[in-house]
Formats: sequence, structure tokens, C-alpha cells
Amino acid sequence: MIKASDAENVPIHVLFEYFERALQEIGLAAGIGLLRPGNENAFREKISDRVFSNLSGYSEVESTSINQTDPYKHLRWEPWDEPEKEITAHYRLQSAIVAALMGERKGLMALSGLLITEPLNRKLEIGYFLGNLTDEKVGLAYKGIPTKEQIFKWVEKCKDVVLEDRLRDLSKLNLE
Amino acid sequence: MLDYTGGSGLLIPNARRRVTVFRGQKDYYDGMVIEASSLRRSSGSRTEQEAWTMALITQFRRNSARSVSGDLDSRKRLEGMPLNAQQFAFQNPFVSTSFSYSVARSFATAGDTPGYALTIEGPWYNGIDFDFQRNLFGLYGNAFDYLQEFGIPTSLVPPYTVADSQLVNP
Repeated sequence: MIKASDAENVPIHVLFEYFERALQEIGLAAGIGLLRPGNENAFREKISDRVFSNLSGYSEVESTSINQTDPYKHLRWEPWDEPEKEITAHYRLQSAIVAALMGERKGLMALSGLLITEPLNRKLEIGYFLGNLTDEKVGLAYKGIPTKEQIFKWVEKCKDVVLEDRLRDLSKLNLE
Repeated sequence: MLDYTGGSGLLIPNARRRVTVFRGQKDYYDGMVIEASSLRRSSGSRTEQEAWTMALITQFRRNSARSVSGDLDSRKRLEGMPLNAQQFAFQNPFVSTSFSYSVARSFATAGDTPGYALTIEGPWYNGIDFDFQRNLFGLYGNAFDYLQEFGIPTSLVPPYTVADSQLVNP
């Protein structure tokens, strides 16, 4: 495995990069300018509708919820054959990243489902994000392709992980 | 393929060198034609898929050339294109390979089942070295720089050749 560089090995910096990119991807690039220390609630209110609208209403991906009796039958490694599904999952992924950083459990659960359904490249992306978000309770704090065993373990562990709202930390970084 | 030595006079040492790269996949047989994801997974007829693939490659080429010349809009587009190629199969006009055997092996054995690790040889200049380009232009790479990806345009045909194929087990 390749260890992240020293600069990358600061979790909040990794998270900020994911956060900024995710906002851009879901059409909220301008929103980042609103995030300032003390202004977190207004920021949250401003972006919530867009973020959460991408986290519901997609039955195929929802069907992989870890509450299902056998989620692992949905385990996939190859890209979707239909571009529409790739795009839908992409927006869901980016919204889930933002939601998880807001401390929302729904974001974590969406990421857990996407770990199962998405191809290897996205598993790598999600694993690295979660590792930095949860201090490696789930995911990897360095870049690496997860194994089937790791994915199963992370999905189970997601049930117990408690997220913190990271908007305050991100807002400080946004000033730099 | 990418004109790094264009109008800016930017010179890349040893740009004409040959490289050895690796690719992991589940199936392989002698003579198998390996095509870019955009040819296999985009919508439409075969003709439309080919046109889409060529359009993507043209955009890669043009935005690279203009980035070398210092055009910031092209650089911004170029930041998104490799990310999109690595996140969306239908937007990847390359046969994905890696400079790392370990990465290729991970793809071959994904899901704890056997697969093939291919050793591929060919000219560096005709493909796209994702990390080289990101470093050259200071582009964001997310976690994907782990993949050490080298993209072979459109399909694995000469000047690229499969030098070796190995069945590998998890």
C-alpha cells in the first residue's frame, strides 16, 4: 500500500478537499463561500435541500441498505453498464460525502451502501474518505484498494459509528 | 497523443521512451481485443460510441495542449476530465492500465476471485500518464493517484502489445 504524503496525511485537509469537490459536483460550488466560523447553521440550511434530495428516491441503490437480510448479494466490482446509473450513484456519493461531514447518519448509511454497489475505483474513493472521517474506524487513512473482507467489515461497523458535525473545522480551514 | 512539446516549448525528457504497464481483468484470451470503457459502456449505437470516444480523446488532447500554453479554462477542464474518466466508465476513452503491478493485481483478484494480470508494453508518448499530467499542471487527483494510471487511447492495439498474461489468485 502507498502511504499518503505528509501533506495529505492530515485528515481534515483530506476531508476539506473531498468537501469542496463534492459541493462543486452537486452544483453548490458557490456555497463554500458562505461557510465561515459562526455561520455553520446558515450554511447547513442553505445546502440541505440539495444534499438530501440526492440521498433519497433511488430504489435500486436503496435496496442495498445494510438493513436488508443479505446486502452482500449486491456486491459489485465492475462499473454499471448504464451511464444513467453511474451518474445517479455519483451524485448520491457526492451528496453523501457532504452529509456525512455535516454529521448526518443518512450520509454514512448512503456511503455504506455505495461501498457495496460501486466499482473498484469508487470503493477506493469512499474507503479513503471514510478512513479520514472516522479515524479508520471504517475505511483507510491511506490510499488503497479495499478487499472484499474489508468492505464487509466496514459496512457492519458503519452501524455503530457515531459521526461528528465537521462544519466548524471545515469553516476554519475555509478561511485559510 | 498529448502534445506536451507544443507551442510553449515545454520539453519532456525522454518523452519517446517505451513503458511497461499492467492491467488486471477477469477474463483474457490470446487475441482478445481490449477496448476503452467508453466504447463498451456508453449509450447508443457502435458508431455513436466510437464518435463519443473520439470526442473525449480530442478534448483530452486539446485541453492538454492549451494547458501547456497556460490557458486556465483548459486547465480547469483538464482537472475534471481525468477525474471523470476514473469515476465514470462511459467517460473513459482509454484502456486503463497502471504502472503498478500491485494495483493491476488488485483489479484482477477483485472480489476474491481469480483473474488475469497483463503486462503491456508500448510508447509513453501515445498514451496519457494521469499522474504526470496532474503533477505537471497541479491538478486535484482525489484518491485516484493511488492507481498510478496510464491510459491507452481507444483500444489495446499496436503500438501497444500484451507482453505477458498471468492468471493470478487472491
